[in-house]
Amino acid sequence: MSEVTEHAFASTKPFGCQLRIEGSMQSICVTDNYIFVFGNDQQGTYADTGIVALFDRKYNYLGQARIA
Amino acid sequence: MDSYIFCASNSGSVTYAPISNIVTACTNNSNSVSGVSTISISSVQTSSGIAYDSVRKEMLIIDSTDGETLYYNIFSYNSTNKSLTLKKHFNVNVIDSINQFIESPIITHRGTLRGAPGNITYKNGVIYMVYWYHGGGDAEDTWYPSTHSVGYLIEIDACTGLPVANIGLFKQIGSVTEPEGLCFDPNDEDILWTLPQSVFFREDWARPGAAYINKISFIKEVSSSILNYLPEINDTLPAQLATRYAFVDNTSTDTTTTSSARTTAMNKVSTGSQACPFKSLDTAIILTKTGNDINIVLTDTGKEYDLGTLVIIN
Repeated sequence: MSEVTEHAFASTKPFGCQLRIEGSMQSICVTDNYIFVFGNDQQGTYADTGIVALFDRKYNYLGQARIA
Repeated sequence: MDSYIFCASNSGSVTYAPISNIVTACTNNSNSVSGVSTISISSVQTSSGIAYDSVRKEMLIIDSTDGETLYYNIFSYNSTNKSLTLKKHFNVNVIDSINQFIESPIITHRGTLRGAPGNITYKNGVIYMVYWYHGGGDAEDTWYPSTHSVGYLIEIDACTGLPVANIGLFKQIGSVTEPEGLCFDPNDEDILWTLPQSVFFREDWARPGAAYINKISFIKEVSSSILNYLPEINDTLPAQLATRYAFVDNTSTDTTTTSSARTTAMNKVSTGSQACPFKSLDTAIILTKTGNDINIVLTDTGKEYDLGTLVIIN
């Protein structure tokens, strides 16, 4: 059995305002250099239009783009 | 050779694009990501998560329409032409198994206990999935803390599809916490990244998202306790929430449990420093009133986390 043993509190970083995504966030993908946060792009609906926000591994916001 | 990111869409298809194209589009704040392609999968209806096992070279997509029965779709993946070939497809009702792991079931005023599978990650034949319980799910109470989501990190045997352990808990933090994303760190298999979203700013069922990126250590073969999800919150709560509390206190005629709890909480606030009655597991919110200001402190087994100050709006 696997166990989760520690929560790195220091790494937790709220940045909803920086994201400026009006819809809901859905998934995360972490690569060697980047953190990708994927979400829906529209408040009030479960829109199919996706949006992705990009951060570096130090949580610095680098930008976002739509995925039509 | 470029690397790709694959996303499972709600319609069941899989969308993918080169990582370099996504990075370029984001850094340009573009309205479109180039090189986006889609794989249509007829066997999948409502994707909940997608994950790739690099050891087995398998793609796993979990599908569910009711949050209780999970449909497992395991594909072989051809990296050359980005094709998916279905190898195995089966379904399992997991609600009873998952309920065994729930330490304090959340009973809503509707008497419902409904879960929803979130994202997954998949490694060496073991599936890790966030699975969150939520309350009534209707528009009027989704903003309220104690009725909503608590997430569990579930370990699933990919062969049987049955949950075998609850290895983590994402607690409420005085607002809604909906764990969604999940992935391992490519540089360190002991690190699991998660994406709980808090909705302090919610005004309706839609979620004007405020997300937290979490990084947790994930160590195998070590017995320990559950994960406590308590992010740093140093910001003052937004004015909308203050308005909500004042509104509920003054006007609510709802006799449901949730509304009653709110009213009781506000009554206690009006008399001074009290522990708020809406509790989630062993987490409590303490409200302290000074003049028209209410200070909110989240406590968790002796620790205290200052959530900021509310101003009552009459």
